[in-house]
Amino acid sequence: MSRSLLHIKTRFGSSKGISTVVGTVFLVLTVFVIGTNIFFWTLTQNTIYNQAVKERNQQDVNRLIENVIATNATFVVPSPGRVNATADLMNAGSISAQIVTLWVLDATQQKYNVTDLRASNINLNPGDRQSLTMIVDIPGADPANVFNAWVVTARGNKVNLETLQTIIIANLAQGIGSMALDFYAFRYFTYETSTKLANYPNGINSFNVPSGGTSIAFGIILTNLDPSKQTIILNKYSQVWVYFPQAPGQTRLWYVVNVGSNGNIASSYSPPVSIAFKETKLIVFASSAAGSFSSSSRVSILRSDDACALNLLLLGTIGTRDYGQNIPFVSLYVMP
Amino acid sequence: MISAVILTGAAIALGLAVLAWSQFRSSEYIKDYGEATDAEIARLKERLTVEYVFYNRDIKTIRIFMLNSGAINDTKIQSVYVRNSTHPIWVTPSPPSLKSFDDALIPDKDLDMGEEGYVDVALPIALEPNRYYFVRIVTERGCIFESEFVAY
Repeated sequence: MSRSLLHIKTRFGSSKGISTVVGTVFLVLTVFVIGTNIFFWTLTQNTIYNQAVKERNQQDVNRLIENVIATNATFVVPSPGRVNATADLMNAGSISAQIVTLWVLDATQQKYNVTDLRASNINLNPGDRQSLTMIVDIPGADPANVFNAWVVTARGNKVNLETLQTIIIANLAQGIGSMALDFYAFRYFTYETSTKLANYPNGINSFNVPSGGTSIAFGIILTNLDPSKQTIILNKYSQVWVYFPQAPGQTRLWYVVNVGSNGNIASSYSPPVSIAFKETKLIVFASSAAGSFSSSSRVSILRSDDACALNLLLLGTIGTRDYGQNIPFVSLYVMP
Repeated sequence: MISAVILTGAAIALGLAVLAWSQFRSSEYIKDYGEATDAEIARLKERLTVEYVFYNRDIKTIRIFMLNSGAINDTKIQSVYVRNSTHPIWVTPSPPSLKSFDDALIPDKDLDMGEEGYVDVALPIALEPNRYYFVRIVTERGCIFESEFVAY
């Protein structure tokens, strides 16, 4: 052995251990590289999965806090097989909501109609209110049938159209007739010209009316609460009349008239006043002649400083049937 | 000296072989794990809302109206189960046909996000009136959505 080889052997030891060292290094490197790769990759996958879980939870939370309310629902059948569904929608939640579908169910005959509302863009921000009116076809639908309806939001929530208030009022109205009078909105009008009402449509909201030569007309707000949900048409004999208990001979009456938006009274009562179910309208009574109006048909109360009872006498048709209702409850004081 | 070189070479070759095998195994693991994770994520995003279940007594069929209210497209219906507390489970023999609300067949046979559709399920017997029934919808991804209805 030469001197130099001896020196190398002395320095590095026996060459028989090199393979062991190389093999060990390879194995350690293999385990380290692959293990590290798998560890970080798995970590990434878990992060992606956790993100998906978070998104799902957020969607669930959004779905739970979405709170759309649908009230004052009405179902009017203007013609057999057609249902006019209306409701007031309000977003009472804290996130925006989109209404995508309306379902109307005729529970009486177990038939339904579904309407896609996406094109209608019924999108509600928190606090937004929007009216929903939709005419749907349900074969065999009849005004006497029981209807139910709900809307579906894009998040998958179903919102029932509540008709509770209608039922309560309708039950009350059924006891006294189909039409309800808004007692607090009772008003009378004086004349700006011979055929034009002053301060129309507000008039004077009072139960104290002038007497003598002051011609007056009455404005009464009526709501159709017919339990059979039919439209009421008032004929020309619909009127308001007052009765003085102290002087029965002083009875006065005012027939229904048509009034333009500027307060001008039409010379003839045409077309007749029509009030759909749940519709509220201001009806004016001004003429001493049924079906027509002129300056000479204005009415004034001659008696003064006395009290009288005011009655509303309604005649016409309700759907295809005759209609007649007499609504009392208003008392007037005729000023001196 | 020669034996040392041979042994070193063998060790290197063995190391490379182990490296290649480990790489192969880890790739398989990554593939399987990735697919499982993707499938789980897809399942998490899938959501079906049953809008209405209508039972037609004349033809002994229930119609289930659905909305894809989830965050993923291509939701396919695999099968539908119908049962109540006393009756056995009826299951559709094959994936039911999806139709849109205007009665047209949905061409891609699935519901994308926000899409609505219905399936008809023919039952072997008439359901009992005024009984409460359960509907279970299973999607191709393996999600289960349930709803109920009263048979009129």
